[in-house]
Amino acid sequence: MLIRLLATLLLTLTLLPAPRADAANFSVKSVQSTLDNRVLHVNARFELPVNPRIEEALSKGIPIDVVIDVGMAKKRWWWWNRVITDRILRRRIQFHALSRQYLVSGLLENDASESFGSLGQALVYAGTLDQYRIVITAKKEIEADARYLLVLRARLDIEALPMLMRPLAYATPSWRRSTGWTEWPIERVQP
Amino acid sequence: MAEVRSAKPSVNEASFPGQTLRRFFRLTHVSPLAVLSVLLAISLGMMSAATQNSALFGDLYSLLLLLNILGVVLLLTLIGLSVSKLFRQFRARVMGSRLTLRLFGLFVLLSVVPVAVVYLFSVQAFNRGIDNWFDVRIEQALDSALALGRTALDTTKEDLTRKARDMAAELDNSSRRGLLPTLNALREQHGVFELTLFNQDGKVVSSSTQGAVRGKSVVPDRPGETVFTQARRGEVYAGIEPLGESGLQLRVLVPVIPRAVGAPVRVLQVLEPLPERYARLGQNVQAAFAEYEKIFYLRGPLKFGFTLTLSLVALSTLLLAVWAAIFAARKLVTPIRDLAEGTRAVARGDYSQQLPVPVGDELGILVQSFNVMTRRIRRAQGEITRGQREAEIQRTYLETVLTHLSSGVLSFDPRGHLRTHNAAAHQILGVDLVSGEGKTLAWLADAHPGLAPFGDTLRELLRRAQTEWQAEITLPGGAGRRVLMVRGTRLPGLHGRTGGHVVVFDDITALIQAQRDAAWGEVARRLAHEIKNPLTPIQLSAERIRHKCMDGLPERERATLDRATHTIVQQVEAMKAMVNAFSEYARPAPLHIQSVNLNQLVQDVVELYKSRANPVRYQLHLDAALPVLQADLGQLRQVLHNLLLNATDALAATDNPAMEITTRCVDEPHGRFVELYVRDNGPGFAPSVLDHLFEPYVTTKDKGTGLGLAIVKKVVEEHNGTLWAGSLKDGGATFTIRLPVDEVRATPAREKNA
Repeated sequence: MLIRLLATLLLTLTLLPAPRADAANFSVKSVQSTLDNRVLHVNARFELPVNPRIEEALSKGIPIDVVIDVGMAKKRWWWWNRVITDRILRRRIQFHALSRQYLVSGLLENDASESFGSLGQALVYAGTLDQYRIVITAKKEIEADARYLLVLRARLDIEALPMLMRPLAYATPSWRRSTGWTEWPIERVQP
Repeated sequence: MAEVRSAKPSVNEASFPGQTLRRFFRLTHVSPLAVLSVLLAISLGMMSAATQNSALFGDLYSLLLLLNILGVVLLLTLIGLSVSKLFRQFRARVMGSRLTLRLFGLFVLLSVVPVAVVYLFSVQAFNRGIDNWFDVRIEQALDSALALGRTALDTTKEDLTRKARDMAAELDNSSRRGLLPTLNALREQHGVFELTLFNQDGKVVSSSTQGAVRGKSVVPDRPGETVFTQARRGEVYAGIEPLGESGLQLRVLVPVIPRAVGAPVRVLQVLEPLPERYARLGQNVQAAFAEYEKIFYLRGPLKFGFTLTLSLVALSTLLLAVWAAIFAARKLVTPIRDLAEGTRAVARGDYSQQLPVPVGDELGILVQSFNVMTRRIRRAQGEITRGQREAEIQRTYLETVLTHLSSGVLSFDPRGHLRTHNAAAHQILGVDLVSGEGKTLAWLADAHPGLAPFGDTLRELLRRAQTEWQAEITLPGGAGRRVLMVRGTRLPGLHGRTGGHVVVFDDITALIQAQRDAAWGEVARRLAHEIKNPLTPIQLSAERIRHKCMDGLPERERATLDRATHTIVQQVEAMKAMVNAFSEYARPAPLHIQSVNLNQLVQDVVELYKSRANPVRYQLHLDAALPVLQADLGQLRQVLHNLLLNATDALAATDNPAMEITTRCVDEPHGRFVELYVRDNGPGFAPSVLDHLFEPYVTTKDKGTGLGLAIVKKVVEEHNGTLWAGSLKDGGATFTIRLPVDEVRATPAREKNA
């Protein structure tokens, strides 16, 4: 009887973080990608809506990290897809109280940040992959007849939040923002 | 909180941690409780450190939290299992479970209440403390500082915007001149850092930077897309942007609207970094404000985090305390339970209990004493058992001796009840004494009237209760009178009381008979000797007288002399014969043993008697399966002759005289016998004669030596046989002779047949 009780408890714990139906989660708006020889070009646009809770945290000076995972995978019908290459892009959005600007860092070189007058603009900027290039360094040949997929995900990184916020963020659905893994076809440029 | 015990392996016997883990703990003598405690303590310490200073373990915070929660869940599971086991034992009424449960409850109460109180007060105290950190005045001051900074920046911004408008207007006027010189001139004139002119598509038309004048090539700073779009639409954009670590710059975008209709709108961007001091101050205000805001915002999570950490610490402490309580309760109760079980075992009679001795305390002393006690009891028990065994051996020994004693032994308790008896007693008395055990001697007289004299005499003797006595008891019986020599001794009793009697008796009939026979033999031999000596002189003298005086005497006297001397000689002759017979009887004759068929012998002898003019009718009942006897044929023939003669003489005065001769085989417990039974229908024996029938010179007849039956008896006894005589109620005498059969010889006879 005790074992059963314990099992129920564990099950509840597992099921608890399942995100509830949230009208405004992150999503992928548009994707366009081409594979030219061993260079992958990606153009993508993510919709990164924020709810009042995140907005409030931002306005109080808490930096928010949006992590974009970009990768290429080979489709395998008999097993899970094989990941050829993947990149993690981190974009930090922060409010600058004195200038009332939203700063987005992580896109430019030497850690410079772009400033925006409104959060919406900053989010659009953060959620844009413009002519992102990945040179595939994997040793394996890119097969001509194989099917390759672009895998994409954008999420809010709770681990990047101030430590004290993390437990609460994990426990609150409104902080758990993610597009989940999405797969997109890759256009092949024939040589 | 962390309890490191090098105690016994975990008391938890659930299969949850797995066999391997348990074996590991048993081998290393580390309690899982201790391991878990240490791990939990370390993890809680790290979490606590992370809560207070996020630089330390900050990255591991979530992991630590998860670990701690898992630890708590594990602890809860283990405790749950232990407690449920405890309750199961309680319900099953296992020895010691009630005490364990009670101690457990007490320990839990003692640990839970203080921890709970401390926990509640702590939570309340630091929640209030955190609230007290934030001061409204500081907040206001920071707000004001920020507002001040913003106002100052706004002024500068407006100033720059005005300049930008002027420049834009001027730029438009001097559109025909070279752009770069114009820009340079404007920049110099207005004293700004950078001027850039963009066309409608956002491409740089021309740019003038302060550094470029000095020969540095600087790529102009581009505005953001949205900002540019805004400016192209004809709106003015003015913004302050953070620049690098601590700098601030002003960016103003103004449209350069052409005079000519349809000409493209260009955009002029003016960049002006704030003075360093100014910027630093502004950034300081910004940083302080931002930090304060952040901390203020994080007040909630901080409280939550602290409460969480504290709760976890408190919960872990509580759970560990509860577990320790279970452990301690069991450890405390184990020796008590062992003692209780040991006592129970001792009560059952199992003295082999040796309990493990707990170290050091009074319970240890108690358990030690218990062990000593059981050891002693066991030793005593062993001695008693050994003693009993020895007594048993002694008893068996005595019984064996008694059983193989030829004398009958009876013992009686102080009240005269039969206690023990041996096989010889049973044999001598001819009574099954087992059924008489525990009964008085009256039973013997009642159940076996033939033994009444024995019982009565014995009872009388026992009643007198002399220390030692001796008596001779005569028993009448079908097999003749029997004489028992009885000796009694009073047994020593406990505590000076009378301890009953033991009676030893022997059948001395045969002994008496033998003594009598020996006496008779002696008498006969002496008589024969004494009588024989003068006989020859008498005979010789008589013959001499006759020879000498015969001739000198007249006829008449001569005839008288002749007759007298003849009589003397004849009588002396008869006397000689008688004396010879006597010495014959008295002298032991050697036996010539051979195989004898008794039936054949009987038939032969009877045939001799039948042939004469004899009125006696002979009836023979001969057992065809009679075994062959090993005996002296001549002597047996003598016996038969004597018996038949005796009977024929006895039947002389009887009408219709008849004799019956029977042979049969008798199986007795102490051997196999051939029985010869002779019976006549004569007058029988007078009771006075019966006792001395087989003694020499006992005769009822007018003639005969009186030695016939004495010889019969002698022969039978020389053949290890028995004989007795009896009178029938309707007249007639009986003789019974039993001769033992040599079994070894009898067996090959059958084999011969086969």
